[in-house]
Amino acid sequence: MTSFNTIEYTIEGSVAWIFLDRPEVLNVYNVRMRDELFEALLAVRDDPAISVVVLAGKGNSFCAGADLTEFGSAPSQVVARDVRWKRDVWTLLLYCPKLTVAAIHGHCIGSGLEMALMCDIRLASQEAEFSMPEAKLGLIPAAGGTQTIPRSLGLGRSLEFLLTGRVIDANMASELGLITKVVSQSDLMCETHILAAKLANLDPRLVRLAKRAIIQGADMTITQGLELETHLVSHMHSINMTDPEL
Amino acid sequence: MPKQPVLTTQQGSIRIVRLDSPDNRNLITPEISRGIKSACAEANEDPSVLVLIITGSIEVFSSGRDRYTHECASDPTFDFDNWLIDHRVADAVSSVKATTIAAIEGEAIDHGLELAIACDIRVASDNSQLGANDLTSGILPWDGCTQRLPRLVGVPKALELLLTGKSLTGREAADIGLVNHVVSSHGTLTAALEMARTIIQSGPLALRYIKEAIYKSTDLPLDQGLALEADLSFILQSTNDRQEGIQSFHEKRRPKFTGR
Repeated sequence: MTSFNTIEYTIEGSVAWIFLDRPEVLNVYNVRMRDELFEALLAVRDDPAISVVVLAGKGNSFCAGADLTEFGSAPSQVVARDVRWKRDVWTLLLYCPKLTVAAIHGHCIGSGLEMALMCDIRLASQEAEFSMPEAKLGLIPAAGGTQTIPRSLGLGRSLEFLLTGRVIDANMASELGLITKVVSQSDLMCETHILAAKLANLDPRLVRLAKRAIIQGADMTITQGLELETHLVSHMHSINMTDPEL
Repeated sequence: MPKQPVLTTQQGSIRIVRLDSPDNRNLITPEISRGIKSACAEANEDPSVLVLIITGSIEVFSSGRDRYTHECASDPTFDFDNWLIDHRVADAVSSVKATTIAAIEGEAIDHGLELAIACDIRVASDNSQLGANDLTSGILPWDGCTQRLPRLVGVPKALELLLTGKSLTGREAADIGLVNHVVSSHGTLTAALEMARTIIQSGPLALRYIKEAIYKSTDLPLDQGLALEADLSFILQSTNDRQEGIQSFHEKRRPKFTGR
């Protein structure tokens, strides 16, 4: 594994831990972090020994958004549009066949929140704060927020959250369904370890199929979704259950 | 000069549309429908309008549904399609490009509910009542309820409200996401204005594109929605407002957006 500059990547058993590692700037997301996350997530996807990946932040915060020092004069939009899909971290994370957990503390802002929303489960510490301030800067969310936030918050609350750019605390975020569970700051890492261990006990082949069924099925009509479910169930039964490849 | 049932006032880039027809509880008649639709059209023609607040009186937002007479129902020449067009308002409201906020005091029932849920955001008073009596009084809602209500509160809650005809208080409505906030009675317009004053500080184009991307998220598969969002953000990269937004951040000052 090449040494990373903006993230820290370690493996404990079948759990991969990716820490965003720019604590001096609250882990703001820059091009280098994008490239390193891309590499790390490819490794997670392709390593059969890994079944869970945890995303967390070093220092005082999970991630305070995009690194605005890199938002200089705009590149050609044609080029930018092309490049966007070449190192697509967000799709890699969203469709990761392994279980993904975000462990959030401190600031979870903009692309930080969008990153967390691409994960299957979100734990947050009591003092964590969430906001989407893009509109205040004349920007819009560009890491999926306009699509993933409504799927969690519903239409009315999403419109308010993104149009006002307001900050919400962990309890509100939990009530609204943005995060799965709130824990005390001192318990966050411990609770994340416990959750990761529990998730790592699930049969990874079943996890892969279940994630496909749920995530792909969400975009289908219910009839198509039920057909997909049946197809995946038949597939599971027709193969030799000791066969690790599905 | 007869009293206008729909009054429009302006505070900078915030426009307020008030339904004021107490004799029939702001029931949406063709006259009120015309007033609402023209306020929406005017808002769309004026890019400086960033927020449109729709409100009723202190006693009632809008309650009930205009009906055609028994004679009309059995008259083969009765033009039902045009009757609907004359009364509908929800599509006009949902096509407003500015952010729309409903400030609800008193009842928002039947057609009043449809008007409220056509807005982006809702603030209701704690003594407000929101509900849909249509089925229990023998009609099918015809201004968007069967489509907007489930997309807002989910199918189970929408079915419950429509099939039972029950009314929710402002608090109960906030708990299920039907309204965004509940405030004490007489406070909704103030709350809506406060929210509007926050919203108008943002980039006008960013506000429009966020609204577009969020509404389309309900119809597009996720990967296509992500592509739409990406394309909208690339379009914004060519704007002065994006430059201004980022520069103001670095200079630690308020941005001055121009909508270009």
